Amino acid sequence: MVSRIIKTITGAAAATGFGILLLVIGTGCSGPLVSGANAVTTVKYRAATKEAPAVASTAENTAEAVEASAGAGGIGNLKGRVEYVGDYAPLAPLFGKGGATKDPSICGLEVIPNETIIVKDGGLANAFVYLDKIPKGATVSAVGDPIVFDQKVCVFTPHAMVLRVKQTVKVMNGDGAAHNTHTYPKKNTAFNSVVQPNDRVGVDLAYGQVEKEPFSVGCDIHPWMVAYHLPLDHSFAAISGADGTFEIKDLPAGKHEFKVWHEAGKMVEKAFVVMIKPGDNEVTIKVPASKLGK
Amino acid sequence: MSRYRVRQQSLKRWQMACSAGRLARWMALLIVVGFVGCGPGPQAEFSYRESTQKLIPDAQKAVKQTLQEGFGTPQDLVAWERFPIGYGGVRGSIVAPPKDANSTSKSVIARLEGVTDKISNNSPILWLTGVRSEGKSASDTVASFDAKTGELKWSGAAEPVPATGDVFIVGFGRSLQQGRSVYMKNCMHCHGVSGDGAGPTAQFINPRPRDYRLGVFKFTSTLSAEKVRRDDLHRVVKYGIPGTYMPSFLLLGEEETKSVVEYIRWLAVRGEFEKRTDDDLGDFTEDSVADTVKKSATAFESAKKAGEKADRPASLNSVRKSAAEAFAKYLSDDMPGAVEDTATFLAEAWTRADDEASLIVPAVPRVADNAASRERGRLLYMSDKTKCYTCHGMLGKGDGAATEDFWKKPGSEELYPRRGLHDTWGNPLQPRNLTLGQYRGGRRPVDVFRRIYAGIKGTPMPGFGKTALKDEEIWDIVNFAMSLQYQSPQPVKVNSVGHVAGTDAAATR
Repeated sequence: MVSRIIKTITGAAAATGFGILLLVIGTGCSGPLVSGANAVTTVKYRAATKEAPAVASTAENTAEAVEASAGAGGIGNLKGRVEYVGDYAPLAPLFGKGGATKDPSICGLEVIPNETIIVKDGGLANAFVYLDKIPKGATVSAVGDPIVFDQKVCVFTPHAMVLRVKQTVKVMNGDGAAHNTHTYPKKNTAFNSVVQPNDRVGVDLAYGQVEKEPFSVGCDIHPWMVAYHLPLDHSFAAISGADGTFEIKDLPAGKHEFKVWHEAGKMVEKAFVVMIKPGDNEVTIKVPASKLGK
Repeated sequence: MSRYRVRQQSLKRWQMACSAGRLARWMALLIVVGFVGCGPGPQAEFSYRESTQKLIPDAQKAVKQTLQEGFGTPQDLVAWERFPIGYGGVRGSIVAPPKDANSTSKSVIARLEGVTDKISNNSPILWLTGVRSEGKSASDTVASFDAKTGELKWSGAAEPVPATGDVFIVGFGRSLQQGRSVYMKNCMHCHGVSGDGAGPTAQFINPRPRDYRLGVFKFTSTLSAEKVRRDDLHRVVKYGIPGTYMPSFLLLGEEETKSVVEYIRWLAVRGEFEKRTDDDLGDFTEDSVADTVKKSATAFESAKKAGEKADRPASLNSVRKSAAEAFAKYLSDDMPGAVEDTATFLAEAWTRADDEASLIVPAVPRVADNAASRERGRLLYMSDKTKCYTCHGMLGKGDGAATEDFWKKPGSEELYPRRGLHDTWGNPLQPRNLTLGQYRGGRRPVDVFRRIYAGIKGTPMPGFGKTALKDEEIWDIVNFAMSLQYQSPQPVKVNSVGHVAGTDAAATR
C-alpha cells in the first residue's frame, strides 16, 4: 500500500514535469513572427514601360488572316427574335395603382409593373444579344448622340439599355420626387447622384470602360426601381423589343459568337453561334424557361 | 467490473507509462519535436480574393502569377513604377562626367531631384538607364555625396562607366519599406496583411475595418467619380474616424504617416488590380462551369419532355476541358491586353485623384450660419428634392423609412437577410445619426459639405452637388445638419434679418 502511494506520487510528479516541459516548448516555440514589422524586406523595381509582348506564333497569325479575309467577304445584317420556350403567365405587378410603398402620391399614379420577365406572343423582351469583342474586319461606327435614361412614375425607362463607351446618357427625372440613380458596374466607377424632381435637362453620365455583362441600376429611395446597362466599344449589340425581335447591322460575314443575357437568367448563352452571310440573315434564339429560373 | 477496479487499472497503466525508461523516451521525442517546431515563425502572405479562388485552376494560376509579378509578396515587394505610388528614394541624372575623367574614380557629377539630405552613405543606387542599368551593377551603393558640387561617388565595380544623361534612384523603395513596417505594426491587426479588412481583430468589431481592395474609400474630398486623395487618407490615419474603432495615429511621425499612406494606396491598387483581373475572367469560374453543366442538363430534360430531339447533356469533365481550352486561348490572345488596360485604368484613376480638378471646392464661402439658413436647410432636408429624411429620419436620428426596408442585393433578386441599408462591401450600414454631432469623415463644415456634394463612395448616400442642389443650398443643409446636435429640427419663424422671431424659446422648443 505504501509503495503504491509512493508510486502514485512519483507518477504525479512526472506528469507535472511533463506538463511544464510542454508549456515551455509551447510558449517558447511561437518564435518571432517573421511577418512582423521588423522583418527585412526587399523592394524590387519594375519599370513602368510595358515589356514587349511575345510575338504571336505564325500559325496563329495565319488563322487570324483567314478570319480577316472572311470578314472581307461582305457585310450582313442580322434580324432575329428571342423566343421564350415554356409556359408563361404574366407576372403580377409589383404595386397596383396607388399601392406604392414610397411616395404613394407620386409613384402610385400608375401601376408599377414587374419587368423581370416580359413575354409577348412568345417573344422575350429585354434580352441583350451582343458580341463581347469587335469582330475582325468590322468597321466601328462613331459614338452616337446622347441618349435619354428617364425615370417616370418611379420606373426606369428604358428598362434595358445598350450603349457605347463615352456616349453621353442624360439621366432625367419626370417625377415630383428626387431619385438617386445608383449604378452597380464592375469595371466603371459607380454613379450615385440625385436627380432632382422634374429634371428635363438631365444629369450627364458616361461610361469610360467596356463591361463584360450588363449591370444593374437602382434607386436608393425607391427600392423596387431597377434597370440594366451595358456599355460596349462597338455597336454589334441589341436588346430584344417587346415582341422579342432585335436587329444588328453591318456585321462582317463569317462566324460570330453572340452572348445572350437576360436579367432573370443572367448569361443565358455564352456563345450562340451565327453564320453571317452578306445581306440579310435571320435567326431565332430559343430561351427555355428553365434558363430563366422558371 | 467495479468502478474502483477500472480506476486501479488505469492508474497502473499511467504508472507504467511514467516508469523511468519510458518517460525518458517520451521526453526525448518531445524535445526533438520541440526543436524541429522551433524554426522561424510563419511568413506573412497576401491572401487572394474569393473571386480568384473560384476561378478554374489555370486561370487562378495566371492571376496569381500576374499579381506576383506586379506586386510581389509582403517580404519581397515589387514596386511597379506604372502606378503613382511614392515608393521613395531620390531620383537623379548625370550632368557631367567626373572632373578628372579617370575611369576608375567611380564618381560622377549628378543633379538630384528632391531632398538630398536624405542621401546617406551606403544607400543603394538603382540605375534606370545607361550601361550600368543592365543588371550587373545592382549592388552599387553611395560611397559619398557632396550636395554642393553634386559629386556622387559609388562603391561597386568601376566599369562600365555611366554616361551623361543616365538616370538613377538612390534609396529606391525606402518609403514603401517603411510604410510596410508601420502598417504591419499598427494596421495589419484590423485591416489584414493584404488590406482585405480581415485581420485577426476584424471579426470582433463593428463597423468592420475598411477592405481596401475595391479601391473605394468613403471619406474623400474628391468628386463622386474620383478616388481618394493622399490628403484624405493622411487625415484619417492622423485623426482616426470618430464613432468607429479607427483610432488616431497622431503619435506616428509625419514621415511614417506619409509612408503608410503610400503603402495603403499600394495595397488598394493591388487589390483592385486583382478584382478587375478576376472580373475579366467571368467565363472561367468554377460556378460558370457548374452553371453550363446545369443549364445543359435542364435543357436536355425539357427537350425530352417536349418529345424533341436533343443533344446529350454535357458532362462536367467535358465542360471543364473546354473551359480550360478556352482559357488557354484567352491567356495568349487577350489577357496581356486586358492586364495592360487594367494597369492603365488604375494608374490614371489614382493619378487623377490628386489633381486639383478632382477636389471639391465650394463655389461660395459658407453661408452665414444663422436661423434663416438653418430653416432653409431644414426645408430642403424635408423636401422631395433631396429626400434626406428617407434615410436620416424626420428627426435626423438616422432612422428613416429606408432603414426598415428589406433591400435587394444589387443585380440580383435576392434580399439581404437584414433590414436596412448596405454598403458596397455587403456590410449593414446605418445612416448617420445627425443629432450626435459625430462626423466620421471629419467635422469641419467643408467635410460635411463634401459629403453632401459628392455623396459617400461605396454607400447609398448619393451626391447632390451640381445635380440637385446649388452650393448655397448645400451650405444651408450643412448649417441645419450641424445644428441638430444642439436642437431638434422644429420649424422656426425667422425675421427679416435672419434671426429667430419672437423669443429664443421658440427656436429651442
